[in-house]
Amino acid sequence: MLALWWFALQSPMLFALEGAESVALRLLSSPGSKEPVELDPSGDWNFRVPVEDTQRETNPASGKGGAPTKFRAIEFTIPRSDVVLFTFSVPVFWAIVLGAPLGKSSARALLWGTAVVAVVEVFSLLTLVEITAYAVVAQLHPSADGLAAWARDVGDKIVVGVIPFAAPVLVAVALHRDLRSQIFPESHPAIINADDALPGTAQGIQVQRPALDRNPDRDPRGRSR
Amino acid sequence: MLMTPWLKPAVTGFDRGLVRTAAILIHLFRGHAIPQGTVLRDPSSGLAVEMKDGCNGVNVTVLLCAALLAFPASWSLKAKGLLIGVVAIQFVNFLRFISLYYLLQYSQAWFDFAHAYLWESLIMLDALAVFWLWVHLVFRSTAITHVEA
Repeated sequence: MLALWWFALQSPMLFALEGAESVALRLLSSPGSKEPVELDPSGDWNFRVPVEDTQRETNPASGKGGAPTKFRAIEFTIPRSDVVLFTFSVPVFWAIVLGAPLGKSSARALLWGTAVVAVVEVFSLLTLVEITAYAVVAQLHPSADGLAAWARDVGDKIVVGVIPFAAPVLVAVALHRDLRSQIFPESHPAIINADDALPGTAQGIQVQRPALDRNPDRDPRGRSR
Repeated sequence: MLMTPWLKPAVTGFDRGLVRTAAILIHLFRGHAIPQGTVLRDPSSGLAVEMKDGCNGVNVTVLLCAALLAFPASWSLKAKGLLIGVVAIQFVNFLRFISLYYLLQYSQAWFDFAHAYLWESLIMLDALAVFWLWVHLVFRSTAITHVEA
């Protein structure tokens, strides 16, 4: 599936991601503003993110602060090779679901899971774009908060290093009932409510039943007749 | 938490240990590699791979440990799962690091693909497989306990 993605699916998925990302960024920006995502001839993605910030430039000759400059948007480029990562989770999800035993829930899990993973990818890229924009803003203010820089660093690591790889696995387990029942055996006490289980069957807690009374004259509740 | 400034030296020390161990393993199999801090360098071509955050398997180990600790099981089973899980992930990560080292000598494009996508997914699936096996172990021991009771 990874080979199929790498050689055939990458371009159409990037096209779909560009459309979805453009819609998501338009929702964040003011109406009538420029196109938030544009591809340059090399395939790299140029983002335009609305940011409200003011920077007072220092005159190098006099050492005094000049007139404040107001920023309304920041433009930056993310290489195509980095954006490709945000099309990676869907084929991994497909590989997990198609590799699991095919059951009634497979088709539904495949459809819903694809939608969920695709939405996660769009929001992950959106988060990365916002983190990058705020990192650029922070560079304009050298005295910026160290904790904020650390939080951006952690956010960046999670969005780039964890979510694209963990999301397909977690979504597959959450949505694919057959796969979930294979991983979590239904008879685990934590999974099944004891009231739902039939005593003495393979499902549910193995409820301790009183030993069979061989005396037929004995009342099941223990009283002698 | 692993990215906090006071834990960073410990993580870097761990990375250095992994690189040194990888170099020893490569030497055992008559290969050539020079460890330089968190960098493993090929003496003939000069090409090198660096063990950075996210390359040391710690992310996946933390995820697996969180899943094992959150699952209802006895502490002895959790301890077994943590031990086996950490060893399994670090073993696969060693294979990953050494294979990437050799793959880089062969092709930069294949290195990029394997580094960014293939091995990352395999390590995540390794964690899922370990968790899967461990849950079955928990289930089996719980069933035995109930039968014995």
